[in-house]
Amino acid sequence: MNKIVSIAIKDFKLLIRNRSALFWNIMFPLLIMLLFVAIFGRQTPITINVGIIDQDNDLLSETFIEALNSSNLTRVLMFNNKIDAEEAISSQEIEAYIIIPGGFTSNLTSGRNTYVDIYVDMSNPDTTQITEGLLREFVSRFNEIIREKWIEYSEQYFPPHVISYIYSFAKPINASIHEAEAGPRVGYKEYIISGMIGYGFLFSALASATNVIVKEKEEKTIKRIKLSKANPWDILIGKTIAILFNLYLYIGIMLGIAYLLLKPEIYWNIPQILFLSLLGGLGGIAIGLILSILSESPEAASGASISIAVFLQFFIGLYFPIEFLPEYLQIVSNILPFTIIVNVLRDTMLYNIPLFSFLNMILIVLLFDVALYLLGSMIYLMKIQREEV
Amino acid sequence: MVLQMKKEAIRIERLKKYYNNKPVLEDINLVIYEEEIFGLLGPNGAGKSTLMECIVGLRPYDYGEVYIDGESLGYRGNNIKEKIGFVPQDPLLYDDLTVEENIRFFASMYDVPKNLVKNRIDLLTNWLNMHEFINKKVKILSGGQKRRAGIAVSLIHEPDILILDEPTTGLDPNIRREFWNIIKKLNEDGKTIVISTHYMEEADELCERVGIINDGKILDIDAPIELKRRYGGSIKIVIHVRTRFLEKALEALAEYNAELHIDRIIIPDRDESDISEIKKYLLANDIIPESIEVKMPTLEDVFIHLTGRRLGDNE
Ligand SMILES: Nc1ncnc2c1ncn2[C@@H]1O[C@H](COP(=O)(O)OP(=O)(O)O)[C@@H](O)[C@H]1O
Ligand SMILES: [Mg+2]
Repeated sequence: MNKIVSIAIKDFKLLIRNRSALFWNIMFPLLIMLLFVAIFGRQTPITINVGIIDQDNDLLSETFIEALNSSNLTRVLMFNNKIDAEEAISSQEIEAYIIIPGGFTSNLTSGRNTYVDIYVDMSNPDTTQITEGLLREFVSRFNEIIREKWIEYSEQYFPPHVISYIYSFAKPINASIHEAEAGPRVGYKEYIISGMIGYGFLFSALASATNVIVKEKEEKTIKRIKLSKANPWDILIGKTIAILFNLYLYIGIMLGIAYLLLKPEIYWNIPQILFLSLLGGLGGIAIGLILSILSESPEAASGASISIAVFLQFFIGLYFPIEFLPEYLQIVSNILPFTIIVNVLRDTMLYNIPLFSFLNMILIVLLFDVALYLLGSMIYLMKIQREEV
Repeated sequence: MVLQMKKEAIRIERLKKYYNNKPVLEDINLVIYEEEIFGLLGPNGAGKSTLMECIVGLRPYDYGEVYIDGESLGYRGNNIKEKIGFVPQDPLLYDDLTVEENIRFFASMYDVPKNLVKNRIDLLTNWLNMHEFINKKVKILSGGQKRRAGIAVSLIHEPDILILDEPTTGLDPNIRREFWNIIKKLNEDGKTIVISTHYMEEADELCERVGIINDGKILDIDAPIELKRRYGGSIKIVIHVRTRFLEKALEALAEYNAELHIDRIIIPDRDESDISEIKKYLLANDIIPESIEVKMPTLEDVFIHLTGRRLGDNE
């Protein structure tokens, strides 16, 4: 036990005294985070995205949607229910959504009034005004068209000037504006913070694990440890603890700086964040361990683990949603446990979804971690005993 | 007659080690006694490091057995680990830790009780004169300081047997002498010392017994004085002249039984009293010698006699 603690402390000291590792593991991701937020976090929408929940699914509701979509100022996204639409508001995918009730077409075609409910994201005063005005304007234009239809139709029965007079007061569609019950704002800064924790899985855990194991071999200090009374499990567990501390150090600094500089509106469910980070970190350590044993030379191992970390950062949804990737790459992304953990972290921080909702995903990742870690340990133990160092 | 029974510290029996089917150690048989300083003298590539790392258990061997205090190394229990201190050729310390942090770390690896560590570090610091750099990171130390730190680390668990692999290679001659004193003192404290070297003076000055090793074979083992008596020849005169005069000088000194030894001329069985006469002879033949000196037999001579080659880069 004493030896494990000593090895953990020793390796942690070595990790944080290594200037270049410190740069790549802490400074660099911080810069990335601030830079990406500066670039992507400020975009004001050029078009207004409007969600539609169409409960009518008939001729006029479709005409309504088409008309809305053909405008340069608005883009339509379809939703099946209010929950999805609210979520899209939270993640700023849409600025508003409209519910078209059942009977919309049949009411209008039989000359009866109907209504639409418009829910507007009111958290951003700049866009609220524009969105509200735009949608009111659209509904009133649509009303005019309907009115004309009604007049055309009624002309068979009444003199035209009477009809226009009567219908000038009519409002075929009544729009009522509501405030969307959106959760906290999900801007890019809120989005990227969970991604930056995922960065730690790749660099502070995966790449550092390879580095810590390989360095001992490269500098041959492993000889002295092998001479001593420490056994290989002491080495492995000690190093694992050191790397987890390294990861938590990074996460702490990253969240602290994000909190101070970006003031993100996220749920600070620290225990859940730390637990999920443990899962991601262990996965990274397991892969790093395996890389350190499989490669012939220390340089090859370090090179391989850095390349893998650099490559994976674009495939596990750190900086942008994996939906941005081509479909065949999304398949790869989706089976990576890091992607799962980053997603769960995001749901935790953005929507405060409790851990048990992800139970099966967490079990899968845990299984992956344990299997890979044990496999790596077995090979490591065999090699260290047999190998000349 | 008093029969003095010396206790065995290390026994090596019929040890063989191959790399890619090429023998690197061939049938090594060796006994090292408690409280002696034993030297392994041989040139680079002789197999010194390989043999030492086999003894401490860092390298597996293909045949034979090593016993430490009568216990087979094969098991390598903690018992044996506690008894042995190994000072590798490179210090093998953590560059980004201070000397003290390194020592404390390895103290913990040997389960040295915490309350003893501070005391031992103070003793070692005094004794190896490490005050100046005990709290400095290893990466900024000089070669000699690193070696001293390495020795301190290897001693923190107070082993009975200390095995040092070329501890003075590459150090200044004066600093080398300091190390000899350190090693002698350790031996006076009752430690068994095994040291490898390719410096004949080091083996001669330090070791009670020396094993001459070349090409993975131990050619003979004995006290330096015995080895010199057996193989070193007698007192002789060594003459250095310019290379172009070698031939001529050899002719001129023919009646002294002068022999050519690589780049120098050697006249066997002569001492100081003959020097002036030899000098006259050379000058008479228009040869100006660069140096003429009397030479006692050395372990280098022993090595040349046994192998037909020089030990190598002796400064
Ligand atoms: N790991 C190794 N693989 C192959 N050959 C080796 C290895 N280690 C040492 N040797 C060879 O074994 C011989 C003895 O080396 P070594 O024990 O280092 O000699 P010394 O310490 O006396 O200089 C050399 O010929 C060296 O090339
Ligand atoms: Mg050597």
